[in-house]
Amino acid sequence: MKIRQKLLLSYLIIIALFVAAGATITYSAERVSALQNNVKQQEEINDNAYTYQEGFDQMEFGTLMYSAYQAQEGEQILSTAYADTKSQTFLVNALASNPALLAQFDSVLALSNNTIYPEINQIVSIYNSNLDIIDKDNQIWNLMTSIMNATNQGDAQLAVIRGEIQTNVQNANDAQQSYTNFSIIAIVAFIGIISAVSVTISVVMGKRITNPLKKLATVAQKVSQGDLDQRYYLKQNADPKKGDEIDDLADAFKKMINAFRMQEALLKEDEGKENK
Amino acid sequence: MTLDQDCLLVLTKQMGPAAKLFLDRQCRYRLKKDPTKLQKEDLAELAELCFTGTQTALGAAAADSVKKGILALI
Repeated sequence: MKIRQKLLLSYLIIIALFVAAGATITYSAERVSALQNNVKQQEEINDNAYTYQEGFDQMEFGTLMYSAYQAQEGEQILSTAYADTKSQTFLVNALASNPALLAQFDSVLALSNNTIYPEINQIVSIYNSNLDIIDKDNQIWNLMTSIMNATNQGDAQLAVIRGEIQTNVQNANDAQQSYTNFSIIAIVAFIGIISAVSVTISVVMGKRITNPLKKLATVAQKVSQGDLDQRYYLKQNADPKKGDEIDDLADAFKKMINAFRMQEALLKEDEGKENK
Repeated sequence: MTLDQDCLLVLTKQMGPAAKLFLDRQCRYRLKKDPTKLQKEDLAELAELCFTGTQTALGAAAADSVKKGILALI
């Protein structure tokens, strides 16, 4: 293989390693970004679940205010709780990827829509009716008990949902942290490997080029001092196509030494004839 | 290419620029012929002469290579 090809091959190996390192870094960055997005998404779900649960509790509190004949405050609290449909819509969409959690949340929604909201409306209409205050109290209290039971049941389900969401947030955080750590180690290792391979290739290639040249220079020095036996130290390449430019140079140098020896031999032959 | 040029090519591989003078000597003094008038029937003898002439100066391996090269021209 020619020197240029050897250098080109070394260069290509180093470039390939750099490309691989670049690809790994890009992939890691994208993966970390995806994991960060997942963490954000899980945190957003957690925030919305918290807001929804607060709204849920406020419904109970608002109804209690109604039952205590503090209609204005009760109405205000209930309207705040009702307005919290944004979190509900967000949770329905966000939990679509988790059928188990979505089913639990759906049962909470069913509890709200089928029990709590209708009963709150009933309390409001009883409160505004012309019934006797004792009848009002009895009916409102009965409905209030039912609402409290439903709210407790919903609260318990929401606590389970929030527990799982918080576990998801923790898992997403752990996954992100662990992948970030792995990425840092992988990138540092890659840079170390690339540096080691680059240095090794440079040293090996440098030696492969300079060692034969040093040898040739030593032989040339001795030949210049009249030692024509130095040709025996020059390697003969069996297949010239496999050798590099330095082998070609050594071969040419060997032929030159042979020419000197032949001329010397022919000269001796001439001198021998003359002496006869 | 003429036969002497072929022989010269074989010899040049081993002895470089001295090949022309060496071939000339072998042809004129040993075969008693002008190199340009070499015939195929002269090559066996020329191969032997070159072998002997080369062996002393360049060694057996080079001499053997020269001999084989010239014999291959027959």
